[in-house]
Amino acid sequence: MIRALLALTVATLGLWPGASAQAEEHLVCTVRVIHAGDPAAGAQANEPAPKLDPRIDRLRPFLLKPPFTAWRNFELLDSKTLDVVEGVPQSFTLPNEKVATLTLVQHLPDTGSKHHRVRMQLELGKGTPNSLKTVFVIDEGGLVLQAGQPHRHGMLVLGTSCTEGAAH
Amino acid sequence: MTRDSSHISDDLLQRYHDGELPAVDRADVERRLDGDARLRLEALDELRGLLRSHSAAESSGVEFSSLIATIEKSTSSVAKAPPKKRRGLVSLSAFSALAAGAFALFFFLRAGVPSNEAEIESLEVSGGSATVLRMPDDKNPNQTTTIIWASLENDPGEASGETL
Repeated sequence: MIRALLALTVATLGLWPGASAQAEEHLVCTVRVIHAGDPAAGAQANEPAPKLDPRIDRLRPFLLKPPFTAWRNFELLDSKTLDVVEGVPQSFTLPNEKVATLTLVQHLPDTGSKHHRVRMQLELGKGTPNSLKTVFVIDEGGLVLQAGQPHRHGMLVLGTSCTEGAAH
Repeated sequence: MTRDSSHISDDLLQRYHDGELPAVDRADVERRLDGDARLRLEALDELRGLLRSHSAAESSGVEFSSLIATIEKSTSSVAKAPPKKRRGLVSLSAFSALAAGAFALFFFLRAGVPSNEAEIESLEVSGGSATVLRMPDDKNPNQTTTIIWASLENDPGEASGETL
């Protein structure tokens, strides 16, 4: 019996990555759209601490460090949850009316590292004169920040993070 | 040391367990080993394991009387259960602990904090400029968070209208 249980445990451990691989075809991505406003006047000892929307507290460690210290107010404008299937672009409109498109290009093969890695493509303003297109590889669950789009006396900050979704 | 034909004293069993008996006495004990005595030996083995897990100072500070009391307490509880079943429970407990440890190790190894360090494979910009910044992680200096910084102009008709 013990041998059977041991075999079951080993099989469970061994099959785990395989079971995970079956669910690699799609991701659930969250894109937080943040407005960074109220540009800081400069380094002053009595300058109040930046205001941070409590809904984006997870991003606090990033937004309170350079280069974001040039802004003193961070507000969550929108949060998109996207079901991203490999090869199928998912689009949504940003507050500055640019269209953002996120695509799962490839779920990279498991190399035994702690996390699966994904190749993503992010496009902003696709087909317009002012656009951005980038392809990057990151851990599942990792956060990528995109910043610099001007908006309302400040700029937009996009925080994108994707995790494994349920299998189809 | 007390000897009779039906019972092996704690002291004798302890010395037998510790390998302190001469060959003749050892053979005598082995001849008289019954189920109860074997259970008490198992308990002594368990106790030895427990003692080894403590520091040497603590181990050396254990008094013999308390040691015997512990053994008696252990053996009395052992004697209540059928030996076979008890061994099974011990094995099952050990297996459960082993499996739990294996799972914990598995999840620890598999489920660390994901890295925010992105490998930028391509970056194309029109109507502006872009750069990739690496923000050092406070907790892990070897890790960074990637920022794709793009100063895009607003397209005609876009609502924001404001530029930095």
